[in-house]
Amino acid sequence: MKDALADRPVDTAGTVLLVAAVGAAVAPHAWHLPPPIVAFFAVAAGWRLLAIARPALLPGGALLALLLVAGLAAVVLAEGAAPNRDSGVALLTVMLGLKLLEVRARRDVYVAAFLGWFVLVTQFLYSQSLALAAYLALPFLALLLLVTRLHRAEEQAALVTLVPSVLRTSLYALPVTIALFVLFPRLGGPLWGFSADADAAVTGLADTMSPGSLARVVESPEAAFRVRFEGDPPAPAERYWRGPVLWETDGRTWRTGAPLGKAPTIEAMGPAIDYEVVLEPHRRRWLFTLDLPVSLPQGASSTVDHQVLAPRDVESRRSYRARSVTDYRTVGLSPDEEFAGLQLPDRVSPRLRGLAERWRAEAKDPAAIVSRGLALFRDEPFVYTLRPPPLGDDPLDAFVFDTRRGFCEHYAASFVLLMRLAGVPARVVTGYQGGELNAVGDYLTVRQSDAHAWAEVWLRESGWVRVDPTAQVAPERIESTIDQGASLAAGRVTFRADLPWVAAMLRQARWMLDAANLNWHRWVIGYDRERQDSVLRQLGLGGLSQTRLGMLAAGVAGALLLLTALWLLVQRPAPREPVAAAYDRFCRKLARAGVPRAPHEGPRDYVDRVVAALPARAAELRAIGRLYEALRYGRHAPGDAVRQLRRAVRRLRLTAR
Amino acid sequence: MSGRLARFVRAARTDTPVRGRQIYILPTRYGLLYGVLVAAVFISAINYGNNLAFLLAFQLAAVGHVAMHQTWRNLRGLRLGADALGRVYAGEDARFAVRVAAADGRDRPAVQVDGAADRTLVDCRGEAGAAGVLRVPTVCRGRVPLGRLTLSTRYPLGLLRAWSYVDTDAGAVVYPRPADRFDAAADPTYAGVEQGSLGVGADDFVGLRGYRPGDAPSRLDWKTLARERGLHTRQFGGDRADRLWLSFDALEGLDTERRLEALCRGILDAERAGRHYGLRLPGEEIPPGHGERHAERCLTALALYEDRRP
Repeated sequence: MKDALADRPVDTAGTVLLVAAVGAAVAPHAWHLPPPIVAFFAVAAGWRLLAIARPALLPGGALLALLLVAGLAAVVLAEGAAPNRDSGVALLTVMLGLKLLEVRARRDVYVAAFLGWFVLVTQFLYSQSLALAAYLALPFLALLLLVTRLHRAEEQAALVTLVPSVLRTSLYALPVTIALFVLFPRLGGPLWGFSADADAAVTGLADTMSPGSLARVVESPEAAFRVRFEGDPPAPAERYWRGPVLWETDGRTWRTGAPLGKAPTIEAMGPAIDYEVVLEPHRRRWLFTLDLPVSLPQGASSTVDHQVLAPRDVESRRSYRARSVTDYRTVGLSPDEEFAGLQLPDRVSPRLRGLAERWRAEAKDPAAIVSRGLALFRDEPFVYTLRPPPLGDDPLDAFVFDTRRGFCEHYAASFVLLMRLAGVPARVVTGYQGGELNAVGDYLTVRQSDAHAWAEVWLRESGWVRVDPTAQVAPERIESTIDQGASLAAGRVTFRADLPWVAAMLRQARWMLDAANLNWHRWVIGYDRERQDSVLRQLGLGGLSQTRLGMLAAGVAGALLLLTALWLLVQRPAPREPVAAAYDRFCRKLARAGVPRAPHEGPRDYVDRVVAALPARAAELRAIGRLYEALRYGRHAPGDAVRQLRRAVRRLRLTAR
Repeated sequence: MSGRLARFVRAARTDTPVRGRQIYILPTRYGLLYGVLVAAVFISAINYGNNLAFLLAFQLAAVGHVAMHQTWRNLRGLRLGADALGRVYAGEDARFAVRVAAADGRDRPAVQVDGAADRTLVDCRGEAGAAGVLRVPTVCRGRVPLGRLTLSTRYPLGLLRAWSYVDTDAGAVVYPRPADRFDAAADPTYAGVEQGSLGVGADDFVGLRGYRPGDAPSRLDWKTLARERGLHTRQFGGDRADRLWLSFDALEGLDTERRLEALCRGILDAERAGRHYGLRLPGEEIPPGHGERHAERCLTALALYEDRRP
């Protein structure tokens, strides 16, 4: 049977809403689509709006075909002919723009609205931030409103009057959505597809280190990762987050060059710390863990120097659980490790070599050499700064003997080199140190500005030992966080102390925003197989196979749908006028007591008959009858008569017969 | 729907609320397209492992499902009533007033009523409901039943269509198409019957006569009484008006339908001219009279002529 509405034209409000909703859905693409595509869509949308007043302006078939060719050409020119994410999105945007120009009758709106909904998905491929999702809820609801409005007989159903019904529909759907979201089995990887584009620059640690490279990372205020501890967080001085370990050096640049072999065993000397990390994408494989990790995240592997690596580059936010010990000792040193740990650059200045030889001659064991090394940085006038002077051809020599101004990479690199010169196996560890405890969300935020480099030396009694030469120069660096704004302004490193109250409030707000973001990630974006497992375990549904889980999801969703259906289908009578409702109740009570009202009986006759049947309750019954008559037929009912009537009916207790 | 199949269809009656079992529901073309959309979003979600896309897919699917129940509920408990409207002559459209109201008094937007050839769409509000008009084209005289109507709705999203059949007992009587003219000369009985005034009519004042017990008080002439000339009764004539007989048998040389069409024209002309007329059909005679109801009685007799014959 034909739809009587499909052929009706879309009115002005409908067209404006359609263009606005679809435009809002497409808008965030303006940041990542090539300008010609964005311009094409904007022109189409504007054209459609102009054509509201003059429908003759709408393009005909030939012009539309021409526009289609132009749009396709724009896509191919801007994105190339190969199908990938960006070209797909560009094509969708062009099609949507053309579809807008085609909208005349109500039937056309459906296709445009459906395409609009699909555009939302393409937005999520670029960003899944809380802010974007909240923003996109608007076009989602607007499109729902639009489609709802198409199915009213009235030509001009006011939009506002439909808003409650649209919100209600969305709300009824929500429990099912949540149940499906929680229970639907998550697959590991993509079915096929376009890999995320790897063109955008991402701040973060690299697998090489040269003077000044870390200082650049530190300039970024972005979060690197966030950590939630199972118990108390470790003390600030223990918060070393292990990243790439660097062995190989040419005197200026340090590279990984890790030796082959198995990681030495770790013997825990203190309690283990369990925690969960939400890592921002950094397009590298490594996962940061608290020094040293004893239990790895699912799917991750560990290298010989205790670096934790994900199976693939981390392209999107990723959360993982790990366990670490901060008080430990490692056992054994393989020949490969020893060789790599003593590797020296081709050219070492005689001054450095001489210094190390002197330490080696004077100290009785390697531990004493380490102390001598640390004492150098502590006792000599070294300065900790983000803007060290240029260092020339032999940077470490110039740093140790001449400029003596440097950032953590200078201290770590020169210390490791000196240790190697003195015959102690040593390596540079990069990563993050510290982090800001978010009091609102009770977790730690580690930012790029917390990037750090330190050293590890191998001693026979305790294995690989962490040594942080920076702590000798600037102990506050280890205990608190760099005040990044002030540091950049002054060119010197300053540290956060007590904040004035405005700053404290701002910090509180920042914490709350950060906490919302983290929870968004934990429960929505990062809800993966691992977290699903843990949620199901908490629900007592652990260990279900994917198939069973799918069946469970379908079952729960079905049950919820049924509940929604029941809720919708229970006949809820329209709210009744209170006097009539009270009289109905009165009649029902009497009917239960064996005196039902006959259909023809008016209130007076009925009450007379009821009084005759129940003489003991005459006074009560007559009072109700009088009140009802006065309210229904009388001219002047007392002001609180309605309340009196309802109360009298409520208090009427009759024995059922 | 073919007649044989129609017997197996569960249909509601007029003026009884549509019950759940009588409602059929299927997705519309847009509903199927919506299904494709949900599937596309869902596949993207799986492919990219994108949880927000999952959320969108699930929410769209759930909205579609809620819409299904809302569609179903929009039809359940609706009551449909239908009545014929006005006169209809063969070849014109018979018009029926269709009333739709919800038993529970709740609003039922976008309810469509489909007849065999016409449809109407109403937003049904509150207990008052809503009314629309359905037209049924006619070809020949006789009784035209409104028959089975389809009550349907695509509310709220147009993704699904719920419908229910309602068997109506409303019918219209279709009068013969009036002939272009009624040839009075051909009919010897079509003539004014001049029988003089008997003073028993009701139209024209004739004069006064003395009161006789039993005269209607409205006929008393109070003015003469006030002038103390005694009680008189006013007399009216008017029975002199033209009385004519429209006779089927008098119209020779025409077939039955032509004769009925001619008689129809005769009735309409006589009615317009304010004449008194009677109708003689084989086997039926309607005594002279005039007025709307008389005309309709005569026209109905024409419409149903021969239906009554064995």
